[in-house]
Amino acid sequence: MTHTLQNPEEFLPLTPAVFNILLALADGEKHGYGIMLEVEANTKEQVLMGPGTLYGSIKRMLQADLIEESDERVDPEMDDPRRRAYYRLTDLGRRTLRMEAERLASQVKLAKIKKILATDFSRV
Amino acid sequence: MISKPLNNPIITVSIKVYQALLLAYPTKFQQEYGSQMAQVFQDCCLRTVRQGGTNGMLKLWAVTLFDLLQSVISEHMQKETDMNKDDFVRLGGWLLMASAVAFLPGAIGMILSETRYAIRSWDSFPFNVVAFAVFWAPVLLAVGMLGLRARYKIGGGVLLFGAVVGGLLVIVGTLVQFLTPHYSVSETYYGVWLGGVFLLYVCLFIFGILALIQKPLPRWNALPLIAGGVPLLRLLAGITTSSLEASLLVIIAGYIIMTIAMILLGYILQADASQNTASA
Repeated sequence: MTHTLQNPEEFLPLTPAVFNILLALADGEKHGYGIMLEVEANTKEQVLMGPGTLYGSIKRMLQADLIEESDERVDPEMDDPRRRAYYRLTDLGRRTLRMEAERLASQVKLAKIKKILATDFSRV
Repeated sequence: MISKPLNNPIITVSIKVYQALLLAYPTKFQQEYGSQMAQVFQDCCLRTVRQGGTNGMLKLWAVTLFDLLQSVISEHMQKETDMNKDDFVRLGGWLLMASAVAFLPGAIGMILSETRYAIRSWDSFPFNVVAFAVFWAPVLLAVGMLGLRARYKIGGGVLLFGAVVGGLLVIVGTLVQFLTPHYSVSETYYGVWLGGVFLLYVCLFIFGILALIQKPLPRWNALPLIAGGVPLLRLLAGITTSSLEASLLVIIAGYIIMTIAMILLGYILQADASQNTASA
């Protein structure tokens, strides 16, 4: 099935899990555990995903064509000899991530205008 | 990243327990992702023991059990939704095929009756069966269109609007025609029925144009456009042909092509039912 012309707006707003998984994959393909580590690091452990949430989100994102499975291979950085499934962003996934990031950025901009952010308070 | 597995009985037991708990997920999900989830859980165990010692395992289990409970419920609910949706989409595919088969003989008969026979002379078998089928076939088409909408999320509400409004007009038009003996009333509601049919096909035709551009079907994306071409066919027949016989031939040939397209579209829809596109 072809989803390349699907409108990313249909997916917005994204859940924190989906947004963070897309963000983790933005700079290259990763396996499940790699995604989990990246999300933890990116969010300073504010978003903790267990395997259930991680693979539940991955399943729905694969169905929605936001990500795709690239291949299965051994991670050379780990001693575990078992093969791991790697995932990467699709074009739709990248466009959806960009739109969500822009949406969030506009919210932050609004918060700045309303002087909600701590940095703005310091200027007052 | 994480390094070699530890020969730690707590990790070994934890992994075995987690693998047993994975049985709580729907079978399909478990088959697809169970081994990967167990692998990730093992990685988490190794990291936790390395960083936080055995005590860290308590926190890991607390987080994992909460995650497991939450995701097991979510996956079972998702499975129910998918199954209901799959069944509806599959039904929609079969109804598109049924509507095409039911519509064709009566549609051709009604064209011929406009010039040669009065439609109300169809009071004996098999004409009454054909008439009954042609009047109710658009209702099957309306449900089939809802199945198309459930499966291929393009075109905004065009299929929903067509199916609901067109379907209602067809039902009202048909019921009043069959229940009202008064000729003038019956004729008016024949117009209501015809309007409903026209609306159904126009909306399917618009969906067909979008399908041709966005290609949501696994193959043969021109089918909805061809299947929904009834209103255009009438117009085309009037423009391109001058004689009555030639015009009738064009319309009948068009109906047959559209019937084939509708059957193929229904076949694709019911075959494609279990490959749902989920919202993330």
